[in-house]
Amino acid sequence: MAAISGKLAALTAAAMALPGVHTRAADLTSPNPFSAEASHLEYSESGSRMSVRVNQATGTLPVTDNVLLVGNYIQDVMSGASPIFNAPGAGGDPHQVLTGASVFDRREAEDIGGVLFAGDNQFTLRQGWSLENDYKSIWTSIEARRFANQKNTTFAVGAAFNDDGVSSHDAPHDYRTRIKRDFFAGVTQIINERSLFEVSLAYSYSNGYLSDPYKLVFVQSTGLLPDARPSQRRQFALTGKYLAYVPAIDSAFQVVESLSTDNWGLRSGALEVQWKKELPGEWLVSAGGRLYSQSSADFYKVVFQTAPGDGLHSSDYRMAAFGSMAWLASVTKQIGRNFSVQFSAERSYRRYSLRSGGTGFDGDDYLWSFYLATLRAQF
Amino acid sequence: MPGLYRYPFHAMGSRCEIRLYAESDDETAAIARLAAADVQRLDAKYSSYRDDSVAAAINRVGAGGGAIEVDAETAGLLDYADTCFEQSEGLFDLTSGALREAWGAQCTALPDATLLERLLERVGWDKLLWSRPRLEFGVRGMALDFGGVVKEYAADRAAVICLEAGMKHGLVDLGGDIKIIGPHPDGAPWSVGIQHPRQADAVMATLQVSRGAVATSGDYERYLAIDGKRYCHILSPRTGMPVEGLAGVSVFADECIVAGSATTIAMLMEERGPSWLDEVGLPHVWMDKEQRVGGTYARLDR
Repeated sequence: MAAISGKLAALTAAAMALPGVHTRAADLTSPNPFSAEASHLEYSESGSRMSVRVNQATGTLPVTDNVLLVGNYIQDVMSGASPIFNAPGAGGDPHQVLTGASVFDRREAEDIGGVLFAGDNQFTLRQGWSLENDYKSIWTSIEARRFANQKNTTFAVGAAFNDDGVSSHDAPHDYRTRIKRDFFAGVTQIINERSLFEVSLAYSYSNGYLSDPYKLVFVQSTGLLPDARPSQRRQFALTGKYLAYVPAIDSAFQVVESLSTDNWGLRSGALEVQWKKELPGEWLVSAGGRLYSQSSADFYKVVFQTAPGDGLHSSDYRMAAFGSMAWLASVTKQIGRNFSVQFSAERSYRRYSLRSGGTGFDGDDYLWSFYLATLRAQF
Repeated sequence: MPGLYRYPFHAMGSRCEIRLYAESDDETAAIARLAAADVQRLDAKYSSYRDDSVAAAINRVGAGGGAIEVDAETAGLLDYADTCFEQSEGLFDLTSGALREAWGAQCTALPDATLLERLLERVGWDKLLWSRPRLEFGVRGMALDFGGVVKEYAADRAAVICLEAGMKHGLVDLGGDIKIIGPHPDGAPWSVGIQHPRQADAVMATLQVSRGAVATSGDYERYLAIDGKRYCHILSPRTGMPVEGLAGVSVFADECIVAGSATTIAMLMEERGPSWLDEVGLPHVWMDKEQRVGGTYARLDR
């Protein structure tokens, strides 16, 4: 409806003044609650490797009938050892060389944005930044959602634009820049009152300095060279999700499958299955597992015999061929009408034996786990 | 998955029902009882037929031409009625209560012109001095009839009681005046069928509503049959006679009280009802005595 007639405005204003006719909490069907969320995550890897502590806070604030402000703050503190390169061992088996001293690194990132609700459409615009001594990142993201079929179908499209500057502790003012452009499109379809599925496609384009300034490669004939990756990367990812409530066991099942490929030769796939159940007293428990596998990047080798002609070389364990098996569980408790608390945990076993092809080694096999506690409030 | 629970009850001379989706009956039965109790509280408080109601107390003062201080809720309703009076060119008038004398339910013949003339001298919102919280009657023998606002106000309050208790899906239906608490759990809207004013088993229009309120007024709800002719229960404060114009009208608004006053004013406007509704700008549908249908929702059917 366009402008409200004077008659309607007068009647509505008078109605609003009546006791108990309208309440902020009454619009629970309206998408504009006040909300705040705070979470704390502890991540650790086996073998006295890395551990990370993340604190995050998010808030939403309605500013008009159809505009919501969103703000986010993340602080992460990283400590422990991180692999730098792989060295050939005495018996021919390579081994990882980790940073000697314990690294202590603290990063902060913030973003602020707004969501506009316009009938069956929803638009989100966000601006974020992270400014550290060795890393500067500014990003903007936009997203549009459209509801159709009485909100049974949701179409979403979005894009994000990242501009980063990377340097290193050793050469903090030697900035090398990179840009990343992400695009996605997805559909969520409610099949019936018990099940839904979701499909989305994402494309990502990166250009610039894409190597890791803290990593090196061991070249047999030459010695240590810096991590050098291509200056351009294109990635595609396809994700499908299916969620269904099964009355016979009074629980819901969720299956998420994702596949991705890029022009670095890195292909990966993941399959996650979760079982979710509501228990009396407003408890929600879920447990599941995830299987992941990837192939190595074209320019990855554990150890190099000679320096490759194209100048591209990396021994970063994240570019290797490997797979992993993870267990996950979470418990959520609703407290009153406005608060909820959630505890989640995940334990993942990285295994060279679960790889998809390419090369790597089991010296990179380790175990990581995280524990996450989240407190949410909604009004 | 939640099931739909229905809680019927009787209030304001109508069949009422609260429908709520919940995991179990236990918590919702209590919430529905609370909401229904508020409706019944308002029924008792503003009933024209009870001696112990607040309306009766006000009208006893009105009979003597005196003044009374009213409570906050009544003050709110009087302020609201004041706004309706202004927006309806003086046709929406709570002081029409004085005309009850001529049009009681036992009425078997048309009241004579002299009686109506005498009663009309005691009708007129501008004969009141309303300065919150003080209500002063300028003329003796006045009476207020809250029937035009209370039912829809009760529907809004009942829905809010359910919402504040944590209900997210359901509706409140007070004799056809409906306030939505929330759509069905899967997001689908409620299908509200508007009774055809002349055919008992037919529907004039079907509205898909996931929020807000729908109110309906018509000459077929409560009427007097005199000499084979139907006289509806809505009386004009100008002529003292039942209005003759639209057979039925339904309006959608965010609040039931706004929807309800819009339908009442549309009926009071008689043949000018449709153009008044267009001016207000709320989605609506009407049917006149010739069974012609018009309004926003009418176009959807065509």
